Amino acid sequence: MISERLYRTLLVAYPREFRGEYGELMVQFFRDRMRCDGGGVRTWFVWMHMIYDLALSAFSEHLGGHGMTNGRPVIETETLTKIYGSIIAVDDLSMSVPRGHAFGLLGPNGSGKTTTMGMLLGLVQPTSGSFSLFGSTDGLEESLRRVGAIVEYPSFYPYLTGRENLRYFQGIFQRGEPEDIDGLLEKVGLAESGDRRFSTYSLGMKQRLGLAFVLLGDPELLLLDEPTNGMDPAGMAEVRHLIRQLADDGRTVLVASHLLNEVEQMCDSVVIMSNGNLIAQGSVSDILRSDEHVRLKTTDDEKAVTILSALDWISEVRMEDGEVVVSSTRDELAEISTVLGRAEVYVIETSSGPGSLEKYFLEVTGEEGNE
Amino acid sequence: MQHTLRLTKWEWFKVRRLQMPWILLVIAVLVSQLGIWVNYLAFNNDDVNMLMGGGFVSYSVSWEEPTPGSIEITCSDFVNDRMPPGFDQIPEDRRAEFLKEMDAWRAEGVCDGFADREQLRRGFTLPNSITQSIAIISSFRPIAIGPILIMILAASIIGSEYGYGTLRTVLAGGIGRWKFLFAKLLLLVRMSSDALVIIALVAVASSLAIALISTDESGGIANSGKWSEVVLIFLKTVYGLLPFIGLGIFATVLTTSRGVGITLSVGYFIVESILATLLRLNDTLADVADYLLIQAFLSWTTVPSELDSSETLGVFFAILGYTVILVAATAWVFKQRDITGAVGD
Repeated sequence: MISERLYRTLLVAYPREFRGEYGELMVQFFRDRMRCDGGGVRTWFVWMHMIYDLALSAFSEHLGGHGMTNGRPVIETETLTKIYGSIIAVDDLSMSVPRGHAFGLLGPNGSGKTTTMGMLLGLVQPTSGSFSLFGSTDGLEESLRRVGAIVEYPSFYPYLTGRENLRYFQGIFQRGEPEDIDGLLEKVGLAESGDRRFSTYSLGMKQRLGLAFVLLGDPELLLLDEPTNGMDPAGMAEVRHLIRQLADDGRTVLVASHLLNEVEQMCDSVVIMSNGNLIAQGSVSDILRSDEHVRLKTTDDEKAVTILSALDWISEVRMEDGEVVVSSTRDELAEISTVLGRAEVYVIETSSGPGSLEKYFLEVTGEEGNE
Repeated sequence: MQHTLRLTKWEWFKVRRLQMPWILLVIAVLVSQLGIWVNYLAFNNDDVNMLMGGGFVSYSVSWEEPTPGSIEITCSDFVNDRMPPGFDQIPEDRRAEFLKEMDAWRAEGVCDGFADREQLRRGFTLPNSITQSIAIISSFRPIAIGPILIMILAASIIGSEYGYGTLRTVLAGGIGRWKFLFAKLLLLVRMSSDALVIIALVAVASSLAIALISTDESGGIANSGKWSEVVLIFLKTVYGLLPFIGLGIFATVLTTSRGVGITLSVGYFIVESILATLLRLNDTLADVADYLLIQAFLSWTTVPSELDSSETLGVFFAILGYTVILVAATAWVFKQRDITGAVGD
């Protein structure tokens, strides 16, 4: 159990290392090892963690701290709690957001996502607990100068134009140069309407201006709350692409959303919140993999369920629509077939399905349905 | 400090595009001009002067011997030491009797509400016209218009940040709360002093215009009052407005609403005037009434000053105390409060 937790922590801390072809192999390796040797893997992980941190620190010093302060996560919260009267908005939230990744903060409305963001931005005073940005627990104002954030919805001055709003915020934050504004408006698709008053913008245009705003001065960390809210499908796709690109360029992006499909497409890792509690966290690919399943039709389905349920490396077996649904990858199908064959239960038909963040989300939050 | 000054500059970049400050400025300028032009009209028209003094009032003396007769004088003639028409035709002893009556009226203070011509002339010639224009903004009755306008402005400038939800956008970018609040305060002080400068410039323009159109003895361009008085009333008014800026901001930060902030701060005027009246009913507490915020401000900015040096010092510290308390309370509330989204006010 401890190994599983450590493994997940590492996935969250270093998801980039667990991505790509090499990453897939590593994940598979760790998963296989954990099944048979929890204690050994744990020791292995601890050593690997320490070596990785030491190497990263040395590399960081070599670079003179430019662009990367240390190997610590960009955001780290420790039992962060916010209570409004009798309502616990955020309850003992401990999470870490690694550098250079798109990180999803997922949860239904009222789950505490915006309150969490508010606390990270110094807008909401935590009732208890602590947090750090860029590894620093003090000097929040200094840290926030490296952050671009939009909380809940883009709020700008309605009597100023889009361009004037950006100019104002650029001036007070001292981020970038006036000539950058044209490029930013172009980037978010507002080149034509930058000189219109903000009050005349549609919700989608406001969101676009919000994106231009968070990109002022090219911050290292972006906090976006429902960034595609009110956008048309094409705009949503553009924003998803932009966020993915920002993360791929090395920026850290924390996206709060209740749109599961959006998070699945944009983010490397997620934290799932419900009623102020963190109920799950991990890399998206890992979550999707955990929800992978194969569907079987056998010569004796009931017996097949009994046999497969007894295997410790299969987490779930159930009957659904006259088929045996096994939580497993397609790669493990041969092994499943062999096990069943030994008991003279033969597989007649198979199919497999990818994992779904939505299904996982609904399972862990206990929600009946959410967009 | 440099950071705060830069913030103030950018606050002005934003605020100057709002209609509200310009509307308030126009009101302030119009009110300040009232003094100059009414004085000018009254100077040239006794009826206007009498209207200003409270109505058409005249005083008369009549007699039966040797033949029945009477003579009357208007307050306008009375305060300007002009004898009424026909005064030269009446018998000498009656003339003496009339002059004696006039002395008695003067001792009684009749016609005190009527301005003499010299007083009226001072109202529209430089530099006293500037002093009067600034002073009228402070003490224009029945309400002190200057403090009211500055509180509306303060509540609007702070309240709009809550209303639009932009406070969250600003503070999330690493602008410290105290720095932001201090920048707003500096901006409001600058705006109030700029408004007074504009009022002064318009007063100069009006006085010059009057000098050009006048054909009588209304005087030269700059021969009433002292320029030092202009500087003094300017500084005193800017200083005197500080607690009202504090009050407007405090009420708005406390309620996070522009509308409620304005209502509360303006409502304070009514409450204080009732309180001052009640306090003055008691001999012991009457002095306390003089140090209430608005009372202190009015006595501080009255021209010419009716305070002796110790009273001036007392009022100075009273205004300072109100300012410090209100600004400190605002900073504390602003620091403690969670910043939520737009309240739409």
